[in-house]
Amino acid sequence: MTPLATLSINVAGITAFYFPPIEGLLSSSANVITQERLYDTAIVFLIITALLVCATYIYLYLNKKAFFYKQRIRKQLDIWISKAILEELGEGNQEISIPSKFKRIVHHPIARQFVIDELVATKKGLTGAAASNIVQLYLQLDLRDGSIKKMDHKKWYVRARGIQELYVMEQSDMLLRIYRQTNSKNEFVRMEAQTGIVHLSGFKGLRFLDIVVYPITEWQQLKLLDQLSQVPFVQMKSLGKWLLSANPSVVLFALRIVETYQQFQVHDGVAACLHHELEPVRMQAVRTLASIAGDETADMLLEAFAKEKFTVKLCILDHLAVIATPLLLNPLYQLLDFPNDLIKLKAAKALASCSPEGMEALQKKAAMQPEPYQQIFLHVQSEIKA
Amino acid sequence: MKILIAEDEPLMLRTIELKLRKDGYEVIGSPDGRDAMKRIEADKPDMIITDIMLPYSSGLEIVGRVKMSSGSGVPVIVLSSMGQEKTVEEAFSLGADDYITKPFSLSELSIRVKRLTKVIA
Repeated sequence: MTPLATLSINVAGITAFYFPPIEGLLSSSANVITQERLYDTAIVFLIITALLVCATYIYLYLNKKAFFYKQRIRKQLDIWISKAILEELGEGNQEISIPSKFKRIVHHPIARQFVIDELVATKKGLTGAAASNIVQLYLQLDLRDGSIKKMDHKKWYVRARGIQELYVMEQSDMLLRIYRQTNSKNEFVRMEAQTGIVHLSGFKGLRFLDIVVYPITEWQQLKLLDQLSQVPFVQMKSLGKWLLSANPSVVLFALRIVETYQQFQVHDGVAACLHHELEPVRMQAVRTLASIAGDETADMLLEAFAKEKFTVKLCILDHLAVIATPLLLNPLYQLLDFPNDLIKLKAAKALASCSPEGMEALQKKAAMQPEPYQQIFLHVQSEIKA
Repeated sequence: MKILIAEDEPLMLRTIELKLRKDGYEVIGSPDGRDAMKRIEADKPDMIITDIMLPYSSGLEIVGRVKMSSGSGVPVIVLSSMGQEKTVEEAFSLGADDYITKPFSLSELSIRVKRLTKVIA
């Protein structure tokens, strides 16, 4: 059948739905759809379309209803909540007075979640008496139970939300339950629990690194380091253990902690990470080692240089330039003969950082062998001047 | 004295508004950057408190606009979050007068506002 013929039959079928079928248009050939079949198909599609339209309408209607309900609640609750937040609680007045009308409103699930969301968002931005009042309000409105229940929910985003509500509201007695979620299979639940545990117990909260077997993402590591920067430093006894963890992301994170908090006591543990099987860990070990460098660090890095891949070699030379001492003059001078030009350049920079003799040696090399050392010398010289 | 607050968290906005009203100021609340710009033009506030992250126009745009149009006469306090140090620097280079890092206490905000009020006077 040609496409044109199909089209005419379809048109006839649709027309037939509204008007009596035009005899003769629907051929009796075996390849052509029968009139009854066409009717049935059209009816099925019509029902499906009607159902879809109804479902969309109901969905939009419920959403709209919830939106306007929230707007109505916002008008009623916002002013009262903000007044409650500013209430001054004294010795004899430990509770915020909550009008029964609001207690009733908060029983509605939408209103309840709305109030929690508002309180959580505001609590994040405030400290002092106002923040304490928000926690007090959260407890007095019995919102805590809901947050605890959420932690057992089968949907991951509800569990993550429950954890967030509990730690933002400083519910320290839930520490153990949150701790259990730090190794959750779900990435987002795990991240929220790790953030929560550090929020509630600072450096001590890092004990989750003992048990976590799933990867800690780069973003999460940055977030945790940022959180830690806001709490008083506490010595970490397990740092050495984390550097030996079977989870590479734990090793990476531990290395970053060592670098940030200059934990010299684990120098050897960091040096051992130079032999880690994963390149990102070795790269971070180089950075960390350079930040806590001792007398033997440069030798360790030079030893690693010989066995390393190109990218790690470059990283080592970059950091040798930072910790360079006159003792490195000879080995770095030898590296000027390395077959790769980028390595030559980086070695020249490190050599120049060792001592004034390093720069002199580079100048001499350039005079003896202008190609390519004259260019390298001028480049290093211009960088030093800058 | 008229203070405009630009903050996108409704409850936070309401709470700051209420606190400053208690302190005796006339307060205008704005939930986003675009509305704040309009209010600045229309209501001519004597001081502005703005969050950095706002819908439509950022706090930085507000600082820039205010400082350009009013010849830096209107003091601006910037509300920033932890880790936004670079943005705060940018706000200062645009002419911001003070900043507060979230989370902050309302009494601290009160003190900063009072201090700036004295500077204007």
